Amino acid sequence: LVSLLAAEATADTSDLPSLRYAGVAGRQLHALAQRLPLRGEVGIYHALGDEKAKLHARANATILAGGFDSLKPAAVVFEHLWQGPFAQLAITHGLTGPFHILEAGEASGALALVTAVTDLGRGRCEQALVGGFTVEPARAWLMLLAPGAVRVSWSLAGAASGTAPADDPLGLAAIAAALRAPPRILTFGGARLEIGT
Amino acid sequence: MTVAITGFAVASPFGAELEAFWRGVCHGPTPVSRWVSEPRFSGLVCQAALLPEAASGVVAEDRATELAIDLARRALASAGFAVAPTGAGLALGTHWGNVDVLGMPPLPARPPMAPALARALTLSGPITLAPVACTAANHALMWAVDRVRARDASVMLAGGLDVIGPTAVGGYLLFGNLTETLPRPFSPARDGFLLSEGGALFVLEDAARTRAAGRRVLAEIIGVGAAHDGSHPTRPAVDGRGVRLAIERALADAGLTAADVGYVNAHSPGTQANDHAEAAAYRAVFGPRGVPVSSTKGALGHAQGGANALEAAACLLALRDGLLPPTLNVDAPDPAFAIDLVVGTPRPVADLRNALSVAASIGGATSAVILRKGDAPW
Repeated sequence: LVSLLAAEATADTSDLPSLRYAGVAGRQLHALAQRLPLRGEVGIYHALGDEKAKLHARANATILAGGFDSLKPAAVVFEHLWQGPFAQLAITHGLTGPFHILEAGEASGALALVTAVTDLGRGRCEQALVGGFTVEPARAWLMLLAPGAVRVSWSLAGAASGTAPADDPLGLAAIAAALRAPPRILTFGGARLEIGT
Repeated sequence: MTVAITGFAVASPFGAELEAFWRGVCHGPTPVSRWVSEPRFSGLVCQAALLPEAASGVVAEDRATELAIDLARRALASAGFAVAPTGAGLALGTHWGNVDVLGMPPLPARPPMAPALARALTLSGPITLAPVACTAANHALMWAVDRVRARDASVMLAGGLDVIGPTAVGGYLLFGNLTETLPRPFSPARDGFLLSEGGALFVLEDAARTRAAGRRVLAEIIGVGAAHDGSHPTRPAVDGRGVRLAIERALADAGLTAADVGYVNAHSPGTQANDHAEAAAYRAVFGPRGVPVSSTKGALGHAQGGANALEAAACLLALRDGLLPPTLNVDAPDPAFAIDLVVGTPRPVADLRNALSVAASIGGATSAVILRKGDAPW
């Protein structure tokens, strides 16, 4: 049982300032988090989707252009690795709750939500930040959950069932909308979410 | 509900056979060889502990996926399953997965690993990868434990693996984290870690149902905990709070106190900054020299996303034999750490019941998993 305290998303940023996209995503997430009422022990649940290969391709291009020597250690983490943006969020806001990354294609958002709900239910954190980002288009999503009255359950619906919309490839906007106005049933990448009261 | 480990398989620089793995962990010697990249990145060279097939020069194009499939099939067989049972799921901790390739664009297309593994292994249960750097396998184990506890799946394959690739080598050279000698965790002479590869997969099931069916329980996972140290992208908090929080949460999850833990398999890869922070966490939770600690990365090197899986396998064998593996290549710990470091030869212990496996990653994520001795001789 959870409640959605707030949900934020950035607009599409089509002209990226650099190849180091993860750094951009980290700054986007930080800007979103500043609007959220973070309190207590906050867990982080990152829906990675299929973005790992895209980030690695950008890191590859950067290394080809300037070699490894053109990088700085901290920048490697924040600007090229997939855990960087949410690590940046944890460090900037001093968050010490559980930290998870779910890489499950279109089901990543659903699984990130389920993992957060599990941890909230077991008292492993007081609030949960569930979010993700995409490289193309450059967008970030973030929602803040706490224990509440909305029931979330899930089941498997077959690997081929459910396709996330093109403008919401991790399903996070749809999940936030469902949490705001239950009951809803959502299916992404084979994961079926039932969000009710 | 407690979660049983009913089978497992390893792929290590000491080979894939369990007893050879255990002998290597306990007695070494650390299997050191040389990793060299393709010509374009000829500066990328490091000392490493490679899987035997890589050391022999025979490698597949997508070694990570092939390794995952092989480990899964052997783990299932170890648990008595010819194929994955209906509804079986997978949580695979792998940082790089199959993407660590450098070259001129377009890079070779790599299909997403999770669906490829689901097809190859005919898995129909929950599936995810957990790419959380050096704590990936512990995170995968945690996720799988929760799926079994919640009855989302009756059987979960869980663990982790990684193979060495050029971005990893280049990155760690950039950090200055790699040793050119031998890994010496917690030693005053530590100068970095030995990069390695491999991993392990475990078959997890409901412990009560497993026993009711008359099947063997090799060990149980009774507590899991995760945290972030909220400190710095490449340096752990000096007070070790990330590791401390993960341990405290795992103890609470298991309903144990620190006094119930008989052995800690440490994260320590042998870097300066990590070992200070990690030792501080052990002092805070267990008191000075309060629990036997060793780092099997002295024997195995640091297999990245697969490291915790190999370390969980070492914990299982330690529980089986009542024998704590030593920290190889170390005579004594840095005295400032005030930890009871197992060194030299394996240490026999009477009635070893609970072992704790700890992990910390670049970026700040930490984790802890508590394993309890199984109830069947094996």
